[in-house]
Amino acid sequence: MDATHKDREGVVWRLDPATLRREEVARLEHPNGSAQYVSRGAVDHNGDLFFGHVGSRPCGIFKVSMPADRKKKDAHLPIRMWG
Amino acid sequence: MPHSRMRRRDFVGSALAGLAGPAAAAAASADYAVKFYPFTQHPDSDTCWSLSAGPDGRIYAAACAESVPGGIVKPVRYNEQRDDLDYLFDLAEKVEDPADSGRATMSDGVLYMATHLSGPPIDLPSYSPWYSWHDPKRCFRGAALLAFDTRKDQVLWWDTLIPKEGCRCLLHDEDRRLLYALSYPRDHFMIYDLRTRRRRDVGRIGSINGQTLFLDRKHRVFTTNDYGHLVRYTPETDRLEISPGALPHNPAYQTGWHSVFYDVAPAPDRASRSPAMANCTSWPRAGGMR
Repeated sequence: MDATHKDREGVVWRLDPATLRREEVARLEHPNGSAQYVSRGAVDHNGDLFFGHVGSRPCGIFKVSMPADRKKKDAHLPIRMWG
Repeated sequence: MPHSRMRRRDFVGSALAGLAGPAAAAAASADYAVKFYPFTQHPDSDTCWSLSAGPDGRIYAAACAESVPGGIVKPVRYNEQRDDLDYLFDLAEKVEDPADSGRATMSDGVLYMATHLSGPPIDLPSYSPWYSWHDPKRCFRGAALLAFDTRKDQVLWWDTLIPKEGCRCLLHDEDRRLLYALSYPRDHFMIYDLRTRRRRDVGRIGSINGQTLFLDRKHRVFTTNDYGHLVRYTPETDRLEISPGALPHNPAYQTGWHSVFYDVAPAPDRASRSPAMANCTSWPRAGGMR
């Protein structure tokens, strides 16, 4: 991690499973607490990313909006059947 | 605004508790805007253990309150029109096990969800499943399975999925109309038939739960055991099998103990499902998991 990272932040990576090349695309920051503990992630029908958070009260979820060129309709299909 | 519907039945599951409205948090990147939505309408919520896309393509999450005596779970949904959260219902009310009961708490467009436990009974500061196991008042009543119609925003029915135990994770075999679950604390492998609404306990796996179950194309079910081995259930033989090899781990620091799956993801081509930890070679000559 480079020096620009903050303590207790979450980092979202984009990974190419074929080459294992990865790039950092977003950082999760909680308004007044830690953000590094994410329990689950999911993609909605617009292709946006959502992450369940653990570690604050009240708890909550993060939304990571995808850039326009990476938006994708029906990105949640085929639907994930486990959790 | 209409949401795209799928013909396939949904899945998803897990248990939990409450939440709230959005409170902007941080922007991390100009291209990937990040925002935090606290469960403000469930201020006791302290964890979100389950989050999935529903059959309507919208995001459903569980606002859990596992450190609060008498804590309850509220399923929530992200509303993109309001850029906020919708609070669907109090699950304790739906399954007739309200917060003040004294107990430990916790197709077609249908979302299945099941409750877990860890919230203490209303009069105790923390929860121990064994301490309360034989206590008729304080014991966890059991994991409740609830069917929610995402098109009508209506609870269709509920049933007890696992008596006295929580549901650690849930899997839907849509083709065969079966739900698979792992119980906590006893780590038993459970099957629930949605056609007959009957459950069956196939047996115990170990002591440390895997956090997820998933299917391959042959309708076999996979998870992990305490020692980092794959566990496979084959419907045709009705047997649970343990892989001879352990999943990859760093032998300098680990033995495989507690190397359980926390989640798995489909491959980018969506044609196969690849667990985050395994390379599917733990069963030589078995043809992998695809």
